[in-house]
Amino acid sequence: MLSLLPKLRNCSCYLRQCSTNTDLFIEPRVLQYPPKYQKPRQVWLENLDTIDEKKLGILELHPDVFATNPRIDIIHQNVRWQNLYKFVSFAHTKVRSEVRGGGRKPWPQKGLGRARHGSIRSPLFRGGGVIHGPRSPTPHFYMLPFYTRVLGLTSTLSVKLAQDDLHVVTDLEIPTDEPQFLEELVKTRNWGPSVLFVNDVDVMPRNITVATDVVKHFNLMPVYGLNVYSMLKHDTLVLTRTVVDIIESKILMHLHRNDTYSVMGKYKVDQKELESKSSEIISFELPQFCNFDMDNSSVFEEFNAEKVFEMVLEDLQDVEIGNGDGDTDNNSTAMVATKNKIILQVASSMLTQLIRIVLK
Amino acid sequence: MSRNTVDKALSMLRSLPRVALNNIRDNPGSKMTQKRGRAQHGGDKHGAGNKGSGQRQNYMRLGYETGNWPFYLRFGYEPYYKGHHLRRQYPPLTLFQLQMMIDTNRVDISKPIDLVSICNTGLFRLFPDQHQFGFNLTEEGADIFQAKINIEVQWASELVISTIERAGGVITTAYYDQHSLQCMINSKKFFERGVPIPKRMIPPKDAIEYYTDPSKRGYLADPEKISHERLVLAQKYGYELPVIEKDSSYEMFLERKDPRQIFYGLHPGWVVNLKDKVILKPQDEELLQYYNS
Repeated sequence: MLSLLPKLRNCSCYLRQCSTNTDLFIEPRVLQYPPKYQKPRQVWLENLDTIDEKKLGILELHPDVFATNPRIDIIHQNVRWQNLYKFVSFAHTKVRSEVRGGGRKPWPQKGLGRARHGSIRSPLFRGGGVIHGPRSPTPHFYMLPFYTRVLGLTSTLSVKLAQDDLHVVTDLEIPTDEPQFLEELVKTRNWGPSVLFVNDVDVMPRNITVATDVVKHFNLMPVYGLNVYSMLKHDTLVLTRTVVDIIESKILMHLHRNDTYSVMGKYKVDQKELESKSSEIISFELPQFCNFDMDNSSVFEEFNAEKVFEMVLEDLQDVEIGNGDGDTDNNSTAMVATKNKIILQVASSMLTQLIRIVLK
Repeated sequence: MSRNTVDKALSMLRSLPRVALNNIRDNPGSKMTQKRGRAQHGGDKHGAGNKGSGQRQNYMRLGYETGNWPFYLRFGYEPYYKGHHLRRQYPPLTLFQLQMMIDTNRVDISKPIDLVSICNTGLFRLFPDQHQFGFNLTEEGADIFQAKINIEVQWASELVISTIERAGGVITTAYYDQHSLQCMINSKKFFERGVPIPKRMIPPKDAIEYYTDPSKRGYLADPEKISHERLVLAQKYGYELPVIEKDSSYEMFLERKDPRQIFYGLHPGWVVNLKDKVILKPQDEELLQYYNS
């Protein structure tokens, strides 16, 4: 049965309903640094606005990123690191001095014919202290070498592409905000069941945000939060075209950069730098690549859209009060535009601050 | 990793179950098992053996031979390495590596090459605090060296000088003190500190002979004597000296640093502000006099 399963999965690929739409002209992807010795990989560019799959064109992918050696051991090391670096064990046992009582010699040293003992809490006694037991808190923080992290990303992306679990779409715009649409889409296209949608910015389109909010196994993630654990946790990975560009350029940059001494050195927690950065209130910048593969997934997955908008609205009210306009109903389009701008700014700054908190 | 292996692995993955969190593992044998003996082995020797200095970790001092007249005291004393920890070191940079860096666009030969541009390639590191005083351009690759360059290194042999000059380039040997080198090994970091560029010190007594020698192309040597030595070397090695005066980049070949200067185009005493992208120059008479002298 086990050996049959993958074959079935392969067969299902042929059963997919697909129609190529030749009317649309899709700009071909030009590789910025074409590979010398390997052919570029190819992937279909698909749409997301209809349930049935429309193939809009073929995109080329860089083999150094999307067709590297699938190192399962390095993927495992990455997943282990992502689980462990934030894990603190609170398991705790008491040693003989911490267990209550036991200060008195239980019986005289000599003359009773019994074994000599000094305390009823010695580890030999029932209810006594524990030797070499777990002590709380035990941090398991460690840093995986930088290029193991990079290789983890390329390996996972290659595995996903090789197993037909990587899909590229034009954007994440869907026509309705009903989750049924997305569920139907995933079912007909043989995706999933769990799907990770990756966008280039962290403010996602409204419809997909609302639709995925209810379904626990459809998740959204900005590209800078992309990581090995989340890619493996979800069966299918859906990237937008811009995301592919960003991933490729970033990973290629790191594979070919010449100032590797700074990233390959010993990990240091730079307290000063973090403090100075957190003092800037509104500044939106994508975090450095070293955070790129850190597991921010927990933040983004548990972050539901309603909460964000509530928080944003609260902040927005503050902003309006601060402006002192007193004009509460702003119907003009200009005002709406500025409002949207502020929403974007506040939301992005809040997200970056959240990431910082998590990183700390 | 050969391309074939990668392709094979990836095509194999297509017919294997989906790689997921439940079926990944590390390579077998890559993890060390826990060392501490458990249960009845808790009272064992923990790898320290039985009895003696191995167990107690009280090893004899190095060279002590349990009462014999030690080997290191048996014979006379010949100080081959006297003062080795104080001598100047020049880590090697081969002509082959230099040619490779030029071919792969790591260094720009349309500008003079110095220690800063070599360090900026990210392939070579220098530790001035470990008495490294710059690069020694060595002879490996002299047979294939082709580039026309204006290079400044800290040590070079005769063959290296002739190779550079035969190819139509110019070479200078220059001394930098440790403080100057600290600024040069990571110039961005130095500029971010916001301190004025220091002035370069003159070489110490035992180095002055080398750096004033025209046959070594020392930076303190008389330029006219250097051009004479260029001819002498060309005759010695039997090549015709290329006429650099007719070269299109003759201006670049003429560029040299002042003996007090550390960076090309920047004078000592200036402060480079990377944030506002301005250069601050000293105005005070006293400062000007200090940095000019």
